[in-house]
Amino acid sequence: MSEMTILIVDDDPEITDALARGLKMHGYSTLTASTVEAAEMRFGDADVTAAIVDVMIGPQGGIDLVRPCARAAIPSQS
Amino acid sequence: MLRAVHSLRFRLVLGAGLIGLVAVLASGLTIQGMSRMSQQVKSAVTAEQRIQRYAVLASQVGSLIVVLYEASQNNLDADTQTARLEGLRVAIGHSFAQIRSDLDRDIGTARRDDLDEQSRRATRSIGIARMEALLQVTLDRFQTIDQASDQASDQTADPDLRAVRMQGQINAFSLGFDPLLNGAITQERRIRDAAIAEVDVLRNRLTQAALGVGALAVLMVSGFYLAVVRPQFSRLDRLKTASRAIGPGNFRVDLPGGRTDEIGQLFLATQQMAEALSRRKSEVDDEWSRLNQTIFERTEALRSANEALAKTDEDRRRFFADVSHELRTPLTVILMEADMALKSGAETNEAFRVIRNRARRLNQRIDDLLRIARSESGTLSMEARVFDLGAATGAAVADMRRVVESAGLELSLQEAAPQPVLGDPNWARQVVTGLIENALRHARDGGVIRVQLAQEGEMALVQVIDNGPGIDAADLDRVMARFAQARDSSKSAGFGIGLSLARWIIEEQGGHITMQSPVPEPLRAGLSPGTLVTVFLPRAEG
Repeated sequence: MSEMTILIVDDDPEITDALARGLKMHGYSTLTASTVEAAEMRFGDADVTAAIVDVMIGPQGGIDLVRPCARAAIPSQS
Repeated sequence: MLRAVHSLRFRLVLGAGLIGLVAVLASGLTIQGMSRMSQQVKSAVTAEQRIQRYAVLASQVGSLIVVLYEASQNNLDADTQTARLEGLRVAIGHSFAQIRSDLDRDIGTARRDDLDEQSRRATRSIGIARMEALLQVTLDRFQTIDQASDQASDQTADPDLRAVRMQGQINAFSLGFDPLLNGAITQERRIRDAAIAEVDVLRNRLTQAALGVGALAVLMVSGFYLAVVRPQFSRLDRLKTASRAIGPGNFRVDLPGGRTDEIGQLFLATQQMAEALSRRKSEVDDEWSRLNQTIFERTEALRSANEALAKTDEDRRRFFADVSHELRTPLTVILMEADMALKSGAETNEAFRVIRNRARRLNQRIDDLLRIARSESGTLSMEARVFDLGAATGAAVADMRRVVESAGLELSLQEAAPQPVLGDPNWARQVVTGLIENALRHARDGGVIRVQLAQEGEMALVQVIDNGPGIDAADLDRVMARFAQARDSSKSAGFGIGLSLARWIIEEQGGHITMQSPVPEPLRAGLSPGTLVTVFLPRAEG
């Protein structure tokens, strides 16, 4: 089985790095992305089960990045 | 003088005066005519009267002649004859006296400058005198003859001769007296007829004069109306039209100038008034449009100033948000690294703990700054108005509820009646929020944070009670002291809003903050000693 992977999206590499190490300490595997485009490519990965997204990222912001994923995941509520 | 001639009043008075003069003329004419008429009538009447007197005289003289004739016949006795003769003489003398006096009066009434008339009347007197003289002479002679015949002897006397001589005297008297009397009567008749004719002439002349004066009056009245009065009415009509136009604001009147009479002056005054009003109106319009322009410009200036201010405000907020982000991001990294280092059990634990605590405090100070930055004015200015402390507290609790509950604690607010207090509702809310955050930080394990309202004398209270481990008596003193000495922030446990700031804010609003630990029994939220922080704010009057 594939491990539960958390996607960390932040343009600050120090933050993604620290978060990744912290989560790893708690036994999670992580993926990092520093741009919206990179993040969108990663959303397709079957391994990614959760994402921590910086609100202040990209021109539209993190919430716009997340909204389509949430809609796709919970179609009944869209 | 020219001005007086042009004056309408002068012309009206002149016209009226002329018409009045015509009336006076008519009256004078009537009086004069009547007087002359009456004079002529009087003249005719006196002439008639004198004719009557002449008639009486004629009859008396006729009687005298008969008596004389009878005397010449000697048919009567001498006494009877003498008596009859004497009676007639007296009567005739009386008549002559009356006629003379009439004539004298008549001469007196003749106009003094009319010498012809005077001499004519005097001539009549001469005629009378002749008649009188003739009568006297005849009577004297008659008597002489009579006496002569008496002296003669009755026998020698020839009665026929006496009669003949007497009849001769009578005939001579008749022949002399008759023309004189006729002449006098004829003259009187002529005078009477002339007076009557003069009355006719006068009547005709008066009638003509009356007609002439009447025609003159009609002409003058018509001329006065047509030449003086009627033109003024048409000018007054123009003035009325112009005045009516001015009323609703049409100032474009055109009244002819050039005439200097009263109406002309009124025209000029009205024209000037209309022009002045027109000027005033255009001035007012100009002022109005200038005012509107000014208002428009000021509004524009205000709007752009407001926009600039809004932009400045927006810039300021963005600046603070940016600063906050820029400050927090590295701080977050520091905190995470310190946490991880502590959890990984590195040897330099104490150092990491210091780093973590200081980083947390820095984070809280940034929160304080941001809270100030987000406040309306960006400064610590405070309102002083009446607000409901209950509502402010409720808002703070609502703000914090999710944070507290996601930390696994229970946050309860004891509902109470509205508590009107005097102060700044925003800051009161932030203070309460800060106290709840503080309790959350220190009493996470207590599981309960209780907020309640109370009142005590002139003060309204907000109490924040936790079920934490509480603060030792010694520590409490220190914490209380730190309220007073805000700068000594060593080992500060970190109150969300900063204890010193919270204290300052509340004291600025006339209140104070107290802290008790352990919590007094009836207020206790659980088994732990807990901490009670009480905010006092002055209640509003009424």
